[in-house]
Amino acid sequence: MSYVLRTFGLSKCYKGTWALSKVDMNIEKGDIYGFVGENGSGKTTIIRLITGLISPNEGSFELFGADNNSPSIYDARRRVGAIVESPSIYLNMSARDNLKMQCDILGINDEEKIKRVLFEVGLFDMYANKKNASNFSLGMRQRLGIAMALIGEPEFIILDEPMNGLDPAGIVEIRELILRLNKDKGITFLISSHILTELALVATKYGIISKGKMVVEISAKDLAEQCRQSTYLEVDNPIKLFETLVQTMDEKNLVLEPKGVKVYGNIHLNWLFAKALDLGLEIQNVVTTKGSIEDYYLSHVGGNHNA
Amino acid sequence: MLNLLKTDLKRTFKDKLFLVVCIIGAVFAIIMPLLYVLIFTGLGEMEIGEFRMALDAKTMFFSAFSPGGDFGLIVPILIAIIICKDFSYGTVRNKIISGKSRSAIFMSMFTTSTIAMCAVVLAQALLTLGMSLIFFDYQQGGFTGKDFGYMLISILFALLVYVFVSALVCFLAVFMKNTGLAVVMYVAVAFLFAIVGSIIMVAGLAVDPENTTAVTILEFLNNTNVFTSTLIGTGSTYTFEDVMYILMPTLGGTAIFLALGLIVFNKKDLK
Repeated sequence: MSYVLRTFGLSKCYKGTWALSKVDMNIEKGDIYGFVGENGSGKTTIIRLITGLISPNEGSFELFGADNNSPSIYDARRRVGAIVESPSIYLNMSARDNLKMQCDILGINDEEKIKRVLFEVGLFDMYANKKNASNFSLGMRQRLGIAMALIGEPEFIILDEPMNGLDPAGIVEIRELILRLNKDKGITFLISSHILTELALVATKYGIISKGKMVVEISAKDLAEQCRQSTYLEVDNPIKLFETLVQTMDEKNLVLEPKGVKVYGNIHLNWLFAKALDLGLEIQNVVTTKGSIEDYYLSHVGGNHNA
Repeated sequence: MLNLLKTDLKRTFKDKLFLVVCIIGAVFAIIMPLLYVLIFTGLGEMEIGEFRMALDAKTMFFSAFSPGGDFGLIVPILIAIIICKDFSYGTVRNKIISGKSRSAIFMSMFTTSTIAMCAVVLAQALLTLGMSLIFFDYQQGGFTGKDFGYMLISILFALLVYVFVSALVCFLAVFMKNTGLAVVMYVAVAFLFAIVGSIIMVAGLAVDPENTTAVTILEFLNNTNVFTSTLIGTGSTYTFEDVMYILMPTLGGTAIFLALGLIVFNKKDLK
C-alpha cells in the first residue's frame, strides 16, 4: 500500500489549548480524502502542519515517505500543491503575473503551462488581462489559488474549503476538475469542506475530526454501505425469516438481529410482509431507514454542529 | 535560493511602491541642493558655535546616504512595506509549501531588501551629487585622484550601513509578521538612534574638552551610532580606528539581526 500521507499521534497546542490531539491519518495514493469537521475542529491546523506552516508539539508525519523532521521533507513538499484557508496570491498583480511568480519559485519557465492552468480553472480570459487580483471576485481568487496549486504539477493537492465563494457553476467546474485530475493523472487530494453533500460527490475516503481528535476514517464504499436504505422487521421468530430470505436474496444484504432481520437495499415492503406472513410469523415492528453522510457525520460527532 | 531571489527581486522592482521610492528619491535629490542654494547662498559654510558644516557637493553627497536623514528614513520604511507584502498577502506560504526552507526564504528576503535599499540610496546620492555640483564645488581645494579612492571606500561604508538597516528591517518583519508594526518599530528605533546621536553631538560641543573621559565616551557613542554615521565621508582619509568604528557596529549588528531573524522565522508559526 503506497501512502502519500501518514500522521502518527499528531498534536498541536496553542497557548495551553490543544487544537489537535494525537491524530492518526492515512491517505493512500489516488485517494480523494474528504476531511470533515465542525468549525475549530482542527482541520486547518492539520493542513498547516502538513504544509510546514506550523510545527507539531507532539507526534510526527510522513509525506511521500519522508519524515517531517528529516531534510527530505523539503523534496516531498515540492510534490504538493495547496490552498490553506484563503488563496495566497499577490493582490497587486494580475492572474498571469501571480502564476509567473509561482513558476519562478518552482523554477518553471513555461508560458504554455500558465495558459493551460488558467484554462483548466476557467480563468483563461484573464491571461491577457492586466486586472489586478485585488479586483477579482472571491470566486475568481479561489480559482486563481487553485491554479497556483496546480502549476507545479503536484502529485498531492491539499484544498482547504475549495468551494468557498464559488457560484454553483464554479462548484461543478472545480468538482469536475478534481475528478478529472484524479482519474487522468492519479493526483491524490485532501479536501476539507463543510459542504458534506459536495464532498460526497468526489471523496473516495473520509476523515471525520471533532474537537481536535480524529473520530473515524472510513472509505466512501464503507460509508455508502452504512448509509444505504435498510428495513428492519421485528418478528417472533427471526431465524426462520432469515433462513427463508437468504434463499431468495444475497446474504450480504441480510443481517440477523436478536429480535428481527435487517434487510439492506430497496425492497418492496409488501413482498417482505408476505414472506413473513406466509411463514406464519407475527410482525411486531417495522423500521425503514435511509442514511446520509450528514446522518453518519452527526451520529459520530454528536449532532448540533455546523459542518 | 536563486529561484526565490529571482522571484523576490522581480516582485520588489515591479511593485508600484518601488517606483514611488524612486520618485521621492529623485525629488529629494533635486530639491535639497536647491534649498541649500536658496537659504545659504553666499555663506560658504554654516557656523553654529563650534559646529561648522561645509556647504559643498561632497557633504551633500554623503549626507544623502545617512539612514537618519530624510530620505534615509523613508527608504527602509517603504522597502519594509514591499517586503512585508509576502506576509500580508500570505504568499510566504506558497514558498514554504513549495518546499523552500525558511532559512532560504529569510535570506532571499534580506538580500532583496539590501539590493533594493542600496540601489535606491546610491542612485539618489549620485543624483544629489550631480545636482550639487551645478551649484557648489566638490570640496574646498577641488577633486583629486586621492579623493576618488576615499569616495569609493566611503560609498562602500555608507552602503554597509544599509546592509545593517536591511537586516534590522527583515528581523522586525519576521518578528512582527505585520507590516504596520514592523514599520512602527523601525521608525521608533531609527528616531531613537538619530535623536540620541543629536544629543551626543550637542553634548560633545558642550562638554569641557579637558574632561578626557567624557570626551572619549561621547566620541565612542557618536562614532558607533550607525544611524548618524558621522565618520563616513566627513574627512579625507580613514584611520584604522575609524574603519573599526564603522565596521564593528554595522557588520556586528548585521550578523546579530540576521541570526535573530533566522531563529525567529524558523520557529514561528505562520497563519
